[in-house]
Amino acid sequence: MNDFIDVSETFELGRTVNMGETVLDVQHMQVSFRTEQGTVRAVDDVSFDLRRGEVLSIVGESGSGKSVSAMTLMGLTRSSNAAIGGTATLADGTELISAGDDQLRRIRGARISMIFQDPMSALTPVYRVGAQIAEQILAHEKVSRAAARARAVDLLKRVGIPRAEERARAFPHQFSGGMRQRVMIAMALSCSPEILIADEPTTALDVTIQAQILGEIETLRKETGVAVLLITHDLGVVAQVANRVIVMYAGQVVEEADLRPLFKDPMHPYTWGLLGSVPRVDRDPPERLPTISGSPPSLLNPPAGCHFNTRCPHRIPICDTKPELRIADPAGGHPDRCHLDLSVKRTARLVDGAIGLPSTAGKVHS
Amino acid sequence: MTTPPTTRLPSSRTRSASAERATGTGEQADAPLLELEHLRVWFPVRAGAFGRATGDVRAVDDVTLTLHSGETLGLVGESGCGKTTLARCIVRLNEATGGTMRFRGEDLTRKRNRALRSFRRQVQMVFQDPQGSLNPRRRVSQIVGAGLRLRRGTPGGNKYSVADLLVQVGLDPGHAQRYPHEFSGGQRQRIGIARALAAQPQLIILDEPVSALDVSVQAQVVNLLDDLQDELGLSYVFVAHDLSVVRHVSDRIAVMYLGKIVELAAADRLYAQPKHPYTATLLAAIPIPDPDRARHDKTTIAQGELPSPINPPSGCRFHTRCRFASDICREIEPPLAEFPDGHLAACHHPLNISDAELAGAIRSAASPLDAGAELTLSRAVPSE
Repeated sequence: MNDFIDVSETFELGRTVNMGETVLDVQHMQVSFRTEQGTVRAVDDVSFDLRRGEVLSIVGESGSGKSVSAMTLMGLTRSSNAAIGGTATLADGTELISAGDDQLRRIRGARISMIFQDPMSALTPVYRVGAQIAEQILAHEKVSRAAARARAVDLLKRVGIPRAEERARAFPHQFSGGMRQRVMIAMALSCSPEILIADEPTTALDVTIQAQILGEIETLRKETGVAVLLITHDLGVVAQVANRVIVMYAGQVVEEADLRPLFKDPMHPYTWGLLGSVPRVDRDPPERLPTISGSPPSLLNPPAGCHFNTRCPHRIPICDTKPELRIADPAGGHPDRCHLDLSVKRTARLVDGAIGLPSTAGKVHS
Repeated sequence: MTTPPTTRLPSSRTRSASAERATGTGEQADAPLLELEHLRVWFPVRAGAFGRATGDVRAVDDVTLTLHSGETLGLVGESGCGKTTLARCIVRLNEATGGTMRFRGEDLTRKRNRALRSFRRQVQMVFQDPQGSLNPRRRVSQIVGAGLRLRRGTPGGNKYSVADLLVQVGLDPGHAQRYPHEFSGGQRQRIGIARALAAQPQLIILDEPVSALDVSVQAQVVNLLDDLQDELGLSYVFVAHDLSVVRHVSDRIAVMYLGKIVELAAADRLYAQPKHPYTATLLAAIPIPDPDRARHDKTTIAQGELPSPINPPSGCRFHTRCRFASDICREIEPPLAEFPDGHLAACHHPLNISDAELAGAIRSAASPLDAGAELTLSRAVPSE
């Protein structure tokens, strides 16, 4: 019988990649959808790389393009009204955006796998969970049905499902939300992928279960060296598990940094706003929660210039022109998309001693 | 689309100010606004071809609570702990199967239909999903106007118009003729709040009102609720699974586990010194957005999951997941211990406790009827 440790060893042997090596290189990804109202530019020139053994987190609000970016990597946004551009290259040179459907089918589940927010709708309600995991193994590898079943049970054990033999014969509805998400993780890992995309994997779970699942992802990353692309809106989750962070707003990357600099030396006003508006249990509560005024712009018709300029209290005239991603602090800084000068940023981001956005009192935008 | 102004009246509210209001002048001074005594909501589980009842889901099992006028009570716990059932029971969307409920001193537990009309005007609800709780085929003016019609002919019934209410919740009154789908999630939740305000309620039950919203918008809605409470003297019951948001709005917080209240205390006390291990676990599980402080201490994270409320564990219901559990926890359901500062906790081995508190604790009258007759408190010792 093939236990999980063997699986990860095969992974080590089968693919000779080193820790820190780039496993995915995304350049100038563009995704737009034609709709009756016009063209929605969901992802607007996004570039990043993902390295082996790291957790890269994409943070943003709904509509920022974070999920569309991830789904495009898997070929899940292909449709007759979608226009997709740019490149996404795996370590061996395979390019995902121009890849044919057959080629993608061999990659999906085997080399890149995905965990979704809602495990109930991602699992088939009419098949037993063990069979669903085995099916994925059989689709990608030449092993016997019995061996695939046995590996499914081992995977379920590995992700902390008690009485795995018995539970493998259960249906998804017989599992709790947290257990279902563990099943999804087991399935995602079944073919030892190089890349695991987790799209809001804990958003639907209680905090106690969320902590367990995040711990599980962390352990697996350490043990298998899988590169994790974690999509979330929750900066608490990011601080918990990520190594590097990309902040997206209205389809664009507005800031990219290693974990600590993002939280300690954030450069983009939107990042300040996000950091400020998270209620903190580890601090005395302020009288009023800091907010970002307004709501994210429509991607049908985003504001000219900086997309954040309608909500930004630090707006200056130059913000009407489009800012490029640039490194504001030449002494070891990280890229962000904001026109403000470094010295202005470092003072403007402090509101009552903490990072945030001052309220735009009296300013009503339309 | 107009973005609502985020700053409104200068907020002068402090925690103590709202506490003063609770004991202020007027009729509410004597009776609390809402009193629940040993309230129980059990749902029968049916099985077999004849639908015989084979057991009960004890969603809310012997809950005793009081809410004062002008106060916000937070109700937190994991999914399945009964917090939403309790909230729905307060607005009478579920019927209680046991216990009593009094609103401004009047026993409403057995009242039905017409007898509840005046009560229903005074208690309104705001739901989690702003999309699902607004009729997609009605215009905003109709949705909000329904509450106003309810009020017509009663004293002060014509005080507001739809436009007033929309302004009050930070929406553009010019959008009254639009449909719900033309608004963003945060704006829809504001419509839900305007609808609740239309009936001029005393008490609003907020069931996860910001859980479906993005963080930046979440904060806007929380601030709005805070302002409305100041302006209108409302009382809230704020149901949430998110402990960090609840803290910002609540004066007191009740933590529920498997249908029971396990801890009830002033918000700042609960966060500073949680006494029930379950509360401590919930707090420890919140990811802190600071990389220097974020990595969890694994020992404080609750293992396992919520047991079935059909066949809850004996004794203390948390003992299956508690690292301080001892023999007594498996046998005797802990009564609510009331500590000198009014902090309530249903635990045999409370945390963060001084000798004086240990000596000064008394068995609270709010304890469940099946709980142990004596307080048997001793210090927590972690077991491996």
